[in-house]
Amino acid sequence: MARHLAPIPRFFASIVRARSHPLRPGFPATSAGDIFVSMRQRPFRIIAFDWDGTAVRDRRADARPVARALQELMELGVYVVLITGTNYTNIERQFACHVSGPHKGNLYVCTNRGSEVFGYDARGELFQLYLREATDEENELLDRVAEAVKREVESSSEVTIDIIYDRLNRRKIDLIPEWPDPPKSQIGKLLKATERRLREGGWKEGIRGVFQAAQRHSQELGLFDARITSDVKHVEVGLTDKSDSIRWMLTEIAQRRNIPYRDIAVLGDEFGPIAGFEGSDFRMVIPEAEGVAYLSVGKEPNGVPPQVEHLGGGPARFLWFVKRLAELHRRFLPSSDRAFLVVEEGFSPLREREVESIFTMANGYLGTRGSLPEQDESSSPATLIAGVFDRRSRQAPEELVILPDWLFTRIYVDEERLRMKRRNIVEQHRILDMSKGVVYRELLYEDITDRITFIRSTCFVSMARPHLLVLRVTVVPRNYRGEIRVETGLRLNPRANPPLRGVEKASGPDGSGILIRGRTLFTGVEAVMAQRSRVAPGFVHPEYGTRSDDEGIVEAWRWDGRIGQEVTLEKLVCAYTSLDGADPLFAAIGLLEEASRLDFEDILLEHAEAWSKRWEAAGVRIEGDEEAQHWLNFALYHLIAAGNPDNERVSIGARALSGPIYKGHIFWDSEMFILPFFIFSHPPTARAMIMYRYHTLRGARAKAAAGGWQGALYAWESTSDGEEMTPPAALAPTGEVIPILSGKLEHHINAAVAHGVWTYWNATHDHDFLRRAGAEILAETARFWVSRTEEGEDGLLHIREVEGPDEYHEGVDDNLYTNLMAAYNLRHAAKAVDFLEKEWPDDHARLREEVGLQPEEPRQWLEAADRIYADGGRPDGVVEQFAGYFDLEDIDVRRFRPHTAALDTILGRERTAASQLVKQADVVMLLYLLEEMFDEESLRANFLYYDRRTAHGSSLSPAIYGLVAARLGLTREALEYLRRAGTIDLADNMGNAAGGVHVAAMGGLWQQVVMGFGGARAKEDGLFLYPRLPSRWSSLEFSLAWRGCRLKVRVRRNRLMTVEVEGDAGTGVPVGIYGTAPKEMKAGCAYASRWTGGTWGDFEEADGE
Amino acid sequence: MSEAERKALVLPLDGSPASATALGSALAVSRLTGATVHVVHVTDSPLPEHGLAEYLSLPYLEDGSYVIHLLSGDIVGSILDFSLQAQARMIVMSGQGKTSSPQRVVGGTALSLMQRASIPILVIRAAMRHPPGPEWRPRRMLVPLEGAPLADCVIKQVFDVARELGLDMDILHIATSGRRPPLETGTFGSPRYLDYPQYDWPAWSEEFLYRFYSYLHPDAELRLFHRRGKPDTVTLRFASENGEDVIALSWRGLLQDRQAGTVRGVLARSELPVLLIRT
Repeated sequence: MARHLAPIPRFFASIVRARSHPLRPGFPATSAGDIFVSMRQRPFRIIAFDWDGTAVRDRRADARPVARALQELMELGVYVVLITGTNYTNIERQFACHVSGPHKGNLYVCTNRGSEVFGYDARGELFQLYLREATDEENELLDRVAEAVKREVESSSEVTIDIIYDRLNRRKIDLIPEWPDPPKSQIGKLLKATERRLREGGWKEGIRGVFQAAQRHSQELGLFDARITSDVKHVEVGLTDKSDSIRWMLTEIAQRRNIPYRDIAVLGDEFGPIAGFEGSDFRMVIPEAEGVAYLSVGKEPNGVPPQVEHLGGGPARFLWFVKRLAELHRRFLPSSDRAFLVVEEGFSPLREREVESIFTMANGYLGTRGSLPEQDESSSPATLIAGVFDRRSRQAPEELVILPDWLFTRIYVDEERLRMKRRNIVEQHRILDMSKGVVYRELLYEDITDRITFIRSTCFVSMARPHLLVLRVTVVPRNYRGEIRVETGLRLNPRANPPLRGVEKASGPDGSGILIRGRTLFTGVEAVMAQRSRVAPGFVHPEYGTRSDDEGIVEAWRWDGRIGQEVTLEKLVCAYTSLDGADPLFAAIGLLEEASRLDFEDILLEHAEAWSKRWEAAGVRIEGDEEAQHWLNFALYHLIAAGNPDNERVSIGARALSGPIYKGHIFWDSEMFILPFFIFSHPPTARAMIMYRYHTLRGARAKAAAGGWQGALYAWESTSDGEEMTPPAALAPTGEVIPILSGKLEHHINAAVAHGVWTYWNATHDHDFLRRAGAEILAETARFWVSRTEEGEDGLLHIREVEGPDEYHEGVDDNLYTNLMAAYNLRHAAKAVDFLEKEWPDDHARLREEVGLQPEEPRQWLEAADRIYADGGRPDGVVEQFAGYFDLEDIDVRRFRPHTAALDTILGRERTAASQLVKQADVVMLLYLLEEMFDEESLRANFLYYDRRTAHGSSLSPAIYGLVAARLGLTREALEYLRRAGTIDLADNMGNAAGGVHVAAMGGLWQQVVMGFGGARAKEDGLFLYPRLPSRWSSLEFSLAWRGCRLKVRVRRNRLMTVEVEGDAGTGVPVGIYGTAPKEMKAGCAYASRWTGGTWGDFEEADGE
Repeated sequence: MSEAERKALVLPLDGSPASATALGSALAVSRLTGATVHVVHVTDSPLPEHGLAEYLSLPYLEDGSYVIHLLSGDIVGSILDFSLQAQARMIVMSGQGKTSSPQRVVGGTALSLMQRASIPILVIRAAMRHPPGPEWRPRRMLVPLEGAPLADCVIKQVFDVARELGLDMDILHIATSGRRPPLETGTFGSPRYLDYPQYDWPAWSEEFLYRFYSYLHPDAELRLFHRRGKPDTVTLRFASENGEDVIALSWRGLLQDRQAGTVRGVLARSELPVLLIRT
């Protein structure tokens, strides 16, 4: 079952829905930190607010907009506490009736000035959570106080005042009955009118005098804890006030759920004094609420108390605040764009390894499979660091070392361990948010005694700090009280082979934190992982300890769990090796200390920001094909995660850092399939990848020499220093011993590296690279080809006994791909050396000296290139894949459809080799790379010929066929290949992805879309475009880094293409329509081409369309 | 009631010598698992108690190795009801009986039982050259997979039977054309892509072990093989060449289904008992 566009789980669905309401500007778009002074990036989890005057103008105002905004907050998990003096019926009518859905349970309404609290169950049914009921004696006292005040005022003046008795737990002394229901906005007028009325009636002390009389009578009559307030029209004497609502919130929401006070915002409009009285909302400022953020949106003409931050702006500002808060929350939650999500629901032990690969989190330096922290026999966790290899024995090939598993976490409830058994899992949702490289998980777990525990986790491998790994876990007992113990640590992976040796485990010197370190046996790399976990702020203070055993070392936290209590553990891990510096231990501890000073939210946001920048450069947008967009996002996510611009000593292996099955070996895939993506999206990573080939030249020279050739021959499977790592044979489950000849025969890898060098240089004009490294790679590989050719009787040069990309045919002569790519290598080597000689003679001299380059060699390379056998093709233009290919049994793959296995497996090795069955793009690779060598007819003829004979037994194949089909306008075929390439991992139901994702196929997918449908071609005289979009795609957008500028290409329905050029002012780059001369496009300008007369017209400067 | 008393296996007989071919296997399974053999005969005609064993072509065994039950009514329904009541873990039966014909792979009653039973059925081909006798001691069970999904419940039943009989297991993947690769989530078919066989085949084998090893009895051996060709032919050949004792097949319960070609082919020619488990 394809995982693309899976339904969003219930919890996350609400988030996605919430996101669909865009924020409307209305106030300056300052950063969150500017507004939420007290919390930096940390979003409030409880907001409490006065209703009338704060959230709405008055009780007649339309509350639907604010209800919608607050409902969004509730859906995001924020608790909303409405505090009002009025009764519930008024709030229901104006506000609560507009809130619906299961998240209404996060709404609390505190009415009647702190005397009542109402809440809602999961169905939205109202129930009363709290009621302060006055005793008869208290009611009588309230009456007596109010009446005593009335008597005093009326007996000493002409003023008549009313008492309103029918209020819960309070009496209202109405000082101006003729103003029945003054709006808050009229408070200034009301104040004057009330004071005038009192004074003109002979009550010279005014409102303050009435207030003081109420205080005095309360004390005299024995109502010692009377709550006396005034809103200018009334003086109220009561048993409760808003401070009781705040206290209830602190106790029943914050403390019960373990939410720290610093995560609470209280908003009002009257904190400051009015008419000599403290503001009515000042009652919400209570001493025990230390850390709570108080914010006023009122006018506050007399200023605000020091505890309060003044925002101003009234209800509009309140609404803006609520929306900003929702926006801030969403930054920590999965993207609302489903094309950026991979969703996995439930738990299937059968598929768990696939899920782990797909959910891999990586940053190029390090990758961690998305294993469940609990782990069981269905898990295959692995953390791999690029370049950290070891051997199982001295003779064995190098392979990536599986490092201790840092996700490892075990949770116990009353000493019973939560195990991933399907019968215990009520619900599980996992989401990989590819937009920011974060894995979210929610688990509802029911144990054998019906205890239900809710677990939420967030984890990521930081893109901003490549050595930092982060896991946050929240544990919530849903229906029980019991002891909870969480152990989280660094577990030695029992499947690690080769394992780390001499492992040391230790706790931090101050008793907090743990670390583990060990060393590879044969490569001598020291690896260190240091961890520190902490409890997120709250009211629960778990016991802490560390424990070490044969499995590894853990930090253990233990506390008494209560229903609804959310305890969050945050775990930071730092990984370093001696390849990063002389003292990895010091570096790991240093970073750990630095990161420990940051809030989790800060670490997540800087990570998300780093991802955002990478997406900005690499993103491709397809409108009209949601599935294709999802496949592409998935591919780009894993590609971005694989690249490391900071390390020239590593490249990207066939499964990147998502699994160990390819041992981290680096094949031709890196240059041919992965590198182009980085060249055009993130050149620094591309440069690092190519520099890896420069640094492994020594190994390549040794391999060439061992074969009796000149120059350098790159290892088919390369690791730390370029030594050949290809095993000589493999055992198939058929019992056959398969000789593996690719290490001996697939010499075309040299041309792949050379092609990568030239493509990178051509796209970047990174002359420093060419001078330092590129020319040398080209020269050494060219030398190899010269020595590898044999002169035939026909006077031409032949390359015999090789294996092309089609690995079904080994030991063939004159594989056309190899021959033509060798010629390419030779010509470009000559060109580079010539360029060096003209432009940088010092570098040319150095090259001559260092590699013994003779003056005549470039000329010899050119001559060799011209003399290499290149099949002229049949009369219909179809070229022969290798000498004798056409004589083999013809085979049409369509005859075997459908089939349950790779076609060569069905036909058998011998028959396959004796037939024209092709494993993967071979001649068709040439149709892509050396397109200009074929005319339109022969491009088509060759594609159709080989398409029928290709088994696509390699995951690298479909995208290249799709690319060529797209360029040829064979849209139906191209889309089918796009589907095949896009679903290699996502729709895998054969366990193929279990060992890691096919990252090279992902690079192929990017090429198919950009180079195929987008029609991009990078030539020496410019970058050319000739898009051919499928009719269902309404638009295609991508960007290309091109010689210091960034081209933002947008194609709309095969009718209009625009190119925006970003770059330094005054710069320009050559860009054109494929088949025409390029045009110099200036940075800062936009250009457009229209489809007219059956072709794309020349680019013209666009006038802002 | 002891564990052994609770265990039951059902042997349906129709009185034909062909149907009695399964007795030896039933007794062997009984011996290995401690289960009681319940011989079930469904008839609406009165039968004399004396000579019942002869009527059912059964040898008379002194130790009461089986219990005979005479039932009436719908034959298949009665057998299945009885199996349910007895909590039988397996039906052992011959593929042929009175209703068999040369044109059909199995008799009508056998077919109905196969299609409706929810417990494993061990089918003995009547024309088998050497049908298992009570002393039969199977060692290995072959589980051929041709890319069809091996559902969780099937895996469990296959492995349960293997555990009870103490069998090692050989899983045989068969690559074939003319059939669609399975699409069901969790299916474990042959790899579609073999980018580099030196890594993809070991990875595929390792993934197999992950998926199935937890079901395996700790003392049992599990082996994985891959072959190509026509699934029934490959299965029978492999079984013969590798000393298999039982062939386990999962099927959807429709013998006319194209996909049941393997079941048809194996039942028609197998020289080994065939364990059928319906998905």
